[in-house]
Amino acid sequence: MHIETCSFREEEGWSAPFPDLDSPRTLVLAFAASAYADRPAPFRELARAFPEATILGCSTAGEILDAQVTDESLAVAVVRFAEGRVAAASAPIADAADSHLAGRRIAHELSGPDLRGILVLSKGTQVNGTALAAGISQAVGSGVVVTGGLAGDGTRFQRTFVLDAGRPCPDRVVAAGIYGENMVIGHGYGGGWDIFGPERLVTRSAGSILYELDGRPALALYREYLGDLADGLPATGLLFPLSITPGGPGDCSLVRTILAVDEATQSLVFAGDIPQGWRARLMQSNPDRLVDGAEEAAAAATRPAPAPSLAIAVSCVGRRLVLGERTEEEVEATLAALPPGTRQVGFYSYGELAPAESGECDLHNQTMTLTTLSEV
Amino acid sequence: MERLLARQLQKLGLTPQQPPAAPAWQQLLAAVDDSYRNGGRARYLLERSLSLSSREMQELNDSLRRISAGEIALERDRLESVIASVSDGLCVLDDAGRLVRANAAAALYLGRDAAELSGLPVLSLFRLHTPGEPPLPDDGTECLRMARLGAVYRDENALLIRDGGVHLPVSCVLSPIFEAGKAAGMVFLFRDVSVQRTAERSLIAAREKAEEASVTKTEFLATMSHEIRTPLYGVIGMTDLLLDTALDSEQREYAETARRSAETLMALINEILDFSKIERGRIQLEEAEFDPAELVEDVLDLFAVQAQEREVVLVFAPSPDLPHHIVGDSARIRQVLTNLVSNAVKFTSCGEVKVTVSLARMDKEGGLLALRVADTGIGIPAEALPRLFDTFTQADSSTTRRFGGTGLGLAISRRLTEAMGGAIDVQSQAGMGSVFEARVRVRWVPAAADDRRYPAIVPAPRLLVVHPSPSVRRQIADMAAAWGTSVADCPSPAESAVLQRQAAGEQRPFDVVLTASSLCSQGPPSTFDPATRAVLLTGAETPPEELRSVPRIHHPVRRASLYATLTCAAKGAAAAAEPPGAADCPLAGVRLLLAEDSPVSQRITRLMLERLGARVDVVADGREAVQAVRSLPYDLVLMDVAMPEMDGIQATQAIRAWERETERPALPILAMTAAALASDRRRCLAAGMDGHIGKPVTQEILSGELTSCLARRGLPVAVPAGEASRT
Repeated sequence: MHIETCSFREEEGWSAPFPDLDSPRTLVLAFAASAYADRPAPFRELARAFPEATILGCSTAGEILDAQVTDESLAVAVVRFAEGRVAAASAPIADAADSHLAGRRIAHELSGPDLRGILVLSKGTQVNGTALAAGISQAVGSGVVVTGGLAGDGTRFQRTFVLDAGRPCPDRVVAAGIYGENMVIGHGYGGGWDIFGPERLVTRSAGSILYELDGRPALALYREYLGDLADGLPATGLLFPLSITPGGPGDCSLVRTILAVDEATQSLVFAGDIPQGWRARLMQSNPDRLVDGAEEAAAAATRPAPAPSLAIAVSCVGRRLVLGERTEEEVEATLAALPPGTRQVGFYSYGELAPAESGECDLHNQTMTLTTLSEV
Repeated sequence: MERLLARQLQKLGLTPQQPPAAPAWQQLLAAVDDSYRNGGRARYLLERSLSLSSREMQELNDSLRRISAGEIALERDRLESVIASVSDGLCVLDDAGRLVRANAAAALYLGRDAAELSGLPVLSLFRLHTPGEPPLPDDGTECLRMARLGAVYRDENALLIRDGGVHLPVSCVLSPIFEAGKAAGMVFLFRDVSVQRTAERSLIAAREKAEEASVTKTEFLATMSHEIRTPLYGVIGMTDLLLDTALDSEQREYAETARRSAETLMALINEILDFSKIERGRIQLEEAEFDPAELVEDVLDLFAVQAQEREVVLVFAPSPDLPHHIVGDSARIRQVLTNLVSNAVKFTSCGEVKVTVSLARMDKEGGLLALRVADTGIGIPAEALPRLFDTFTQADSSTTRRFGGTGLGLAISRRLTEAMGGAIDVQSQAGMGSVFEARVRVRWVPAAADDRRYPAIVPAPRLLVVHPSPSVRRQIADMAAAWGTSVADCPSPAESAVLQRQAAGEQRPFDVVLTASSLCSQGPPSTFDPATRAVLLTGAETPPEELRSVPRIHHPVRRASLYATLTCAAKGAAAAAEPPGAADCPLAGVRLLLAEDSPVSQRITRLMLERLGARVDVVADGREAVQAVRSLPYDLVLMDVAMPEMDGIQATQAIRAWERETERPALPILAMTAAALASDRRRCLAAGMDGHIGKPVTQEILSGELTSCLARRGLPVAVPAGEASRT
């Protein structure tokens, strides 16, 4: 397969001319800062330049291109498959309740005999990532790798979009299906967050809204731990993701990130479900641990391939907050861990979709997820 | 250089070597400032998180401890109330048996408060027993030892020693306590059982009273029976004397009826007495050597007349390997068999009573003798079977009226068979008949093993049996075949003639033709071949005039008789079957007194004596014998030595003393004993007896001994041929 990348900045324009790779077997990935919802010109240009290709993209909390992280830009990768095929699908999501149905629709549209993987990008707010992932997983076979992420909006948590038929749309989910026996899709994820402190019982919650832990208002707990940084909620809430587990011995745990706070009910809105009766513990991290986590993700996603592959990195806004200036270290680390010659594109999201330990696609938070596409 | 700093420089296009231009310198400072701020924030958050979560952990810890303490206290309180509410005494002891704690009930029983009890070796306040037989008093060492080994010690009969001397009967348990698999002290539980003990004592007293009452009743029965029997002997003896005088037929009939009634009454009383003896546990088994087949033949003889009157055929089939000598209590075995055959004949009319005997080997000491009496009588309904061997019950109340009897016969038989190490049981169906089987233990005779009393007869004779009953023909055929005889049989004289003609035609005529006297209404049976002997098989009655010249043997056929008949035929000697003649009754006209306590022995001995022609009165113990001798004239007394109340020796001494007092001639007294020791003989002679006969007696022995004894005394007797030379 043939891979080319380029980027766009408002001031400088495109970094390189478009490669001549348009074809029905072509996939174009475009990750853009959310401000480009109002300035869609670059999207139109891409659509004109690649009429036969499948264009997939969304807004971000940071764009990744090879070993660099940028803001207020577009990161674009164009890949033409030699024999693999690609198809597009999309579905509306008016609010979180539609998530499951939207996922099933996507899966139905894309299902086919040699479907190998689905890349799915969804709006980033008012969405239930867990339900979306479940909807897709239930409708596809177990041999299909489902990855992707929730669109971002910097640290504002207000408006996100996905690119549907080359146009930015706020309330949709889009996906690309990868077909072909020769397509190899690798995946991996890594965290780097450590749990600390006492275990707390989720005493009151509904869906992805957490009201009380151990009978105390959830917001109050976060305010206490954030101290002076509490004014930065919901963004600073990303510094303390929640590790939740059903509570039995040997149960695997999930990481959840705050998307929003509600002062009126003293509750927190997360990107995925927080089931009542589960146990929760706070997590914290430091840059070195996060970078190590990213390296683990890359190692897991690596697949042997004769020719260079494309790595799609979907990381989390929460990690960026902790890493700060050192954010680029994690994408450097992933690129370094991937086979030489691999190209990397991706974005910082409000939620990562990737196969969990069970093998089924699930919503991750605060996690670096990588998907590698290769043709053998 | 720090990676971060290097990258920051690189991003701004700066190198460490070159100082930056002003705008780049500002950017660098901003970036570095940002990094510091981030670092500071990170540290702030880390420290804050640490202190907050530590505090939370501590609070959690404290609340956990409080809750646990609360729950532990609750649990302990619950346990306390359980222990306090146990109404038995409960003590927890340490390894050495010292009290750690006691519940309220224990403190109350022990009469001390908790403080005094602590550390006390509680077991010393009790009188305990070691387990096992017999239990010995224990000061607590044994039970502590058991508990330390992990075993539970129980004592139902312990005593709590109290001041003031009144000890409390308790039942107690000492159990080890295990903690994590190791012994950690013991629990001692004790309960006041004084109420129970009192109840037990009353029960025991009541039972003893009941037993006493039963014994009293039995004693009363026995005494009354004795009292009744004495005048009854008088009645029997007197009617006997009356029958000796000249009476017209009407008077004779009345006198005979009176005598029969008195004898029946006597039999009943004897049975009651016998039963009471058994109930009092006074059975002492005797051991004598005897021939089981002959024992059965003896008993069947007793019922020949009755069976014939009721048209019941008596059949006896001994198993072929039955030994001739075994050791057992022949008198009691005879008693049981007599009871069974008596019932069988009584409850059958126009049918058959078949007796079989077999011996099953049990070990090298002996085996189990099985006597089976099967009848084709009225049978026993199923609901009556369970109570059959109980006392004073018969199958139904109408049975007593129709058939008589005390209802004790089977009860006695059961106790006797059980005393002889065996059992008795019955199978029956109403209307079909019954089968009774009595099994008793007998011993082998050492070294006697296998002598054949009846060796095969050579040359083998040929026998033809002519009798209407197939069972009788079968019995005789089996008996004769065992001696090598070849046997043919048929039911009628007509067929007998055919078979005889056939045999003669084959040049092998029959040596003996045995014909039932009932088939000879036309006259004596004829034989085809002159060499063939005709022998009659008669019932108990004397045959009619025209048949009296024919040699005869009686039914039930005794082996001895048949053997003698066949042997003589084989040898060609003159028929030695019981010939008619005066020698039949060597004791004709002799009045005998028989003193014998066993009812069956009485009957058999009396039968033998009556066959010998004597007139016999029977008494059952020494005292009655003395009384009888003083009231009635007798020619001779046969005195059983072992009798209750007054034995034969004492009776003889009493009689001799009376004779001396009244200057009467000495009555001949012959002793009968089962034991044959020389010392016993000496005792008899010393007491004044004239001689001694060993039990079991046979007709031949009786005949010989009595005739010689009487002859010595100069009394008239008909001496049988061959006996004259004996003294």
